Amino acid sequence: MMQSALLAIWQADSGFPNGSFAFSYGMEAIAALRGRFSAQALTDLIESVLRLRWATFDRLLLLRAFRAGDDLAELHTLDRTCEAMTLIESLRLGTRRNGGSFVAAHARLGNPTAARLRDAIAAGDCLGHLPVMQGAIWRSLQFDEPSAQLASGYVTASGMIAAAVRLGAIGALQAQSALQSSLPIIEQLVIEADDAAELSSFLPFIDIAAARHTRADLRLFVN
Amino acid sequence: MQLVPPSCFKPEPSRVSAAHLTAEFAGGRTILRRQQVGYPWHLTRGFYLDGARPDLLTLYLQSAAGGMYGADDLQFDVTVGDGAALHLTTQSATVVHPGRDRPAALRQRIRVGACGFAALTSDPYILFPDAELMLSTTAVVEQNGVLLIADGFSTHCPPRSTGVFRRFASELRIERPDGRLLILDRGALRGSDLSGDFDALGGARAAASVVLIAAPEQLPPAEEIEAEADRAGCFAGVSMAPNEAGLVLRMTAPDAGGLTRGITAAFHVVTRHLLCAELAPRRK
Repeated sequence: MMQSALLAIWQADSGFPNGSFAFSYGMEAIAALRGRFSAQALTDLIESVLRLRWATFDRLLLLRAFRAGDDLAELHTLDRTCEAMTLIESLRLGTRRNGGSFVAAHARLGNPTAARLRDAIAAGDCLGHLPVMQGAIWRSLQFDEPSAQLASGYVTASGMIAAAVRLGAIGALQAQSALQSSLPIIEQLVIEADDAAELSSFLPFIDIAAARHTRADLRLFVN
Repeated sequence: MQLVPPSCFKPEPSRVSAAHLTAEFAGGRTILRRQQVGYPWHLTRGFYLDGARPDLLTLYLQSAAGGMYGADDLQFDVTVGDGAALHLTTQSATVVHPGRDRPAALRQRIRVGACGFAALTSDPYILFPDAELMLSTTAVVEQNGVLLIADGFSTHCPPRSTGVFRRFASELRIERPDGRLLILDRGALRGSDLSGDFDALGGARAAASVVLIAAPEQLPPAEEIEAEADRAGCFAGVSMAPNEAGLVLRMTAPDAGGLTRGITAAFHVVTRHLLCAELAPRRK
C-alpha cells in the first residue's frame, strides 16, 4: 500500500521526464481566447476535462491496459482504439508523443516492459498513446489500480495547471488553489466512475480550441 | 376472476420504426431504387436542385410526429450505391420531448459504395428539459466513396418551464468494408454538466460535429471552413481525422439557429471543393 502510494507520487511528480512539458492540453488556445483565468475558472475547466474526458476515456484506457498486463496484442487494440477516438490531430499527436517519451524514460531506467513497448512502437505494432502506456508500465512497477488512477488524474490536472502558469494566464498561488480544488473531484471519480463503461469523450470547446491552435502564428506548446 | 381497476393502465409500448432508402445511379442521375419509410417519417419527392451536378438527388426528411418522444426507437438505413450522389437533409430542427426516464433513440446505418457521394446533414435536435436522446450511426464507406455527415443539438427551455435536458449521447462509427475502423466518435453530456463559460461547450448552448470521409486531395482548406462557420456566428475548429480518413469539424453556437447556419455554411464549403460546384441553397 505504502509502496504503491510512493510510486504514484514519483510518477505524478512534474520532475519525471515524461515529455508532458511540451503539451498544454488545449490550455494555450483557451488562454488566447479567454485571457487570464481566475482560480474558479481554471477549476471549472479542469473539472470539465476530468469528468468528460479523463474519467470516461483516459482513465478507462489506463485501467484496461493495466489489466491487459503483458498482452501486447490487447495493448495494440487499445492503442488503435485511442487513435480512432481522438479526433483532433494535435491532441492525438500529443498523446502519442507524450506516451513515447514516457516509455523511453522508463526503458532507459531499465524497465523491461517499457523496453518491449519501445520496440513495439518502433516496429509500428503500437502507437504509444499515453494512457495505454501508463497502464502497462505502472502495472509492471507494481502499482495498485487505485494508485494508478489517482496518479493519472493528478498528472492531467497538474499538467493543465503548469501550462496555465507558464502561459502567464494565472498566478502560481491561484493555480495551486485550483489544483487543490481538483483533488476531491479526482478522488470522487476514481471511487464512483463505472469501470465497465464504454469509452467516451465529449469536450467540443477544447476540441475546437485545440484544432484552431495548430494554425496559430505563435505557439509555446504543441497542443 | 381477477378484477381490473377501472383506472389501471399499462405503459405505452415503445414506438419502433425502421426505414430504408437505397439510392442508385441510373440513366445519368441518382434515383431512389428502394424506399420504405413509415410513421413518424415522411420523405419528400426527390429534387434535382443543382444545375452543375444534375445527378445529385436531394431528399428532405420530415417528421409527422412533432418530434421525438421517450422510448422512441427509430432506425434509418441508407445505402448509396456505386457512383450515386445523395443529399439527405431534414426539413427542420427536431424537438426532443421529455423522456420520463425512457430515452429516445435513433440508430442510423449508412453504406456508401465506390465513387458514391452521401451527405446526411440534419438540423439540430432541440433538447427540451428532461429530454434524453441517444444517437447511434454506423457507416461503411468504400475506399473512394465520400461521406459527409452532420449532427448537432441545442438546449432549449420553453417559457414557463424550468430545467435542462437530462442526457445527450452520440456515437459515430465509420469503417471500411473490410471492417477497418477509421473513426469512433462517442460522447455523452448531461444537462447538469453545463455550468458556465468553461463547461464542455465553453458557455455555448448548441454544438455539432461534421465529419467528412474523403481522400486527402479532395479535402477543403480547414481555414476556409472555420471562417465560413465563424461568419455564421459559430465557433468552429477543423482537424484532420484519424487514420487519414478525412476531416472533422466541431462547432458550437449560442442557439439552434446559429448552429443550423454553421452546418449549412460548412456543407457549402465542403461540397464546393468536393464536387467542384456551387450547390443551390436547400430551401426549408
